[in-house]
Amino acid sequence: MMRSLYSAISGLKNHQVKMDVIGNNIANVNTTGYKKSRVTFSTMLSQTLQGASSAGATLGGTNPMQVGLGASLRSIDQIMTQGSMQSTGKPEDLMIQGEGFFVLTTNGTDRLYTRSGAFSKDSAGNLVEPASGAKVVAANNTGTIKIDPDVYTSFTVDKTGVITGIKKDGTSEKITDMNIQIATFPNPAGLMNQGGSFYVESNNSGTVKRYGEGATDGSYPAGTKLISNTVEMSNVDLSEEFTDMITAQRGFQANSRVITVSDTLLQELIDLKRG
Amino acid sequence: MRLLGTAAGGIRAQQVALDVDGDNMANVNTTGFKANHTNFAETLATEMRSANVTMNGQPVGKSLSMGAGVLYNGIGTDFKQGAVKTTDRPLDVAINGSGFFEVTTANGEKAYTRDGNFQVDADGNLCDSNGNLVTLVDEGGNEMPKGNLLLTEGLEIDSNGTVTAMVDGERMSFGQVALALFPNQEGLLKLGSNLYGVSPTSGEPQLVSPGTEGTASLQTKALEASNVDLAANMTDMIQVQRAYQMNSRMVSYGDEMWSIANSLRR
Repeated sequence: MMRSLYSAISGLKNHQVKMDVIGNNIANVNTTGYKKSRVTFSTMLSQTLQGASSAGATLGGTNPMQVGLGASLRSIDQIMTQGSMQSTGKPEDLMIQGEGFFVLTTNGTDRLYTRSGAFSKDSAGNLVEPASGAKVVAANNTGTIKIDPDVYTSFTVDKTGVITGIKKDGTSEKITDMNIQIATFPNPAGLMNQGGSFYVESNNSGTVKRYGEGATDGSYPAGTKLISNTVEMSNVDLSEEFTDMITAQRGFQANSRVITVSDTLLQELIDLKRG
Repeated sequence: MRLLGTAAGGIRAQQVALDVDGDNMANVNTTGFKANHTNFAETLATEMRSANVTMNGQPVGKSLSMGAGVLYNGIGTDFKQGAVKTTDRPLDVAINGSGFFEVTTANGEKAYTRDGNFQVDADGNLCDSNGNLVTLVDEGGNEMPKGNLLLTEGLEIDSNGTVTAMVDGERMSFGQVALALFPNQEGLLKLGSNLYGVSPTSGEPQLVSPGTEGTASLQTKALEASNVDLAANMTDMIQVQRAYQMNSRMVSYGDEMWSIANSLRR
């Protein structure tokens, strides 16, 4: 059967995936700490009708003659750029300005990474991710952040991740071993998406580095700081998504035309033989 | 009956043309894709009467020859620049001008691409999104060792292709992304996955530094879009469709005429 028919099908499928990714980006346009993805395509194998020949004594060389067989998905990349900040006035809301991720744990030993710092406190004073209840891991990577409600009425977090508790009598003190950890990866785009704004390590994300006061790699790297009372907004740019959506729609349409034309050609062939 | 063979040849040729158009259309959003087009040529003509025939010393007339249809004799690639589309990703690189990035594939062979969607893997290699290693060269033009970006942060590529990254708070250079130029880039073999390979007609690649005089410059945080022109491709497809239809009509007419000849004697 015709190559063009299958090239067009590959084009249709790819553009559908592109639409899926755009749809997901737009759905997360207001998700705190969301990082957008984008799709890239590549060519498929080509069928060689005639190979290249090198130049001879009297004749020049000829170029190869190859028919491409369509397109395939090449990558779905996560774009890890900074989102803008949104001030909330809630002391548990934290945002990372610069590289890195908050570290969370659900059972004490597992490690989840997220850019979404919209945390809350539970009844025991643990700083948790409100949807899942995962606790925020401290810089020393052993404990989790807990602000004892019997001792402290409120707290503040400074830009280096140090937590200061305010006691009932109005005095304040630094809470020891309760510093927010920020983790970085050599290849953050290699992290696996886990849902719930969580990422987990993959074998292409590289070795994790842990920062914060009392952490293995020292205090936060240059250019990274914590901002409290704010959350990081999604880095989805609607104007970009909509233009991408036009591209996807038109690309899809063009490929569907190739299918209808291929179909009429086949019909033409069938009509050749009457009776 | 030459007509049937001529028309069948026409159908075959238009079929290839549609295949090429379909492939272009499928790759309308493929990074760094270059559109292809089919070239046709006439086949050898049969001489029905030679020019040198004489009768009683008088020349009979001009030669009479009849063609036997069409051949596709080439599929050319149009290497004109695609639109440079900005992205937010620091490791996206577009080539503004001619040349190719050089990568090493899994089997150790060199391949060439216009797709600059790069990443750093966990082992500290700059690679494309299929994991093919991008060739980085030092000032002397020698290839940098594998994994030289291990333990670095904040990788950046500038318009000259120089790769810099932070090591212990200091920005250091880690080589340059080289561009490969070919004597005949239309002769490159298409390997799929946006890669091209050296062929006997392409000639050997010459590695040059981007951004110097007479060479292409790089644009970071950008990718080169496909250079397929949808309007041109769509009109091309209409032409192909009609030419195909015409050739198939000729087969029908040929069939009909043959049937008439067959029924002369009942």
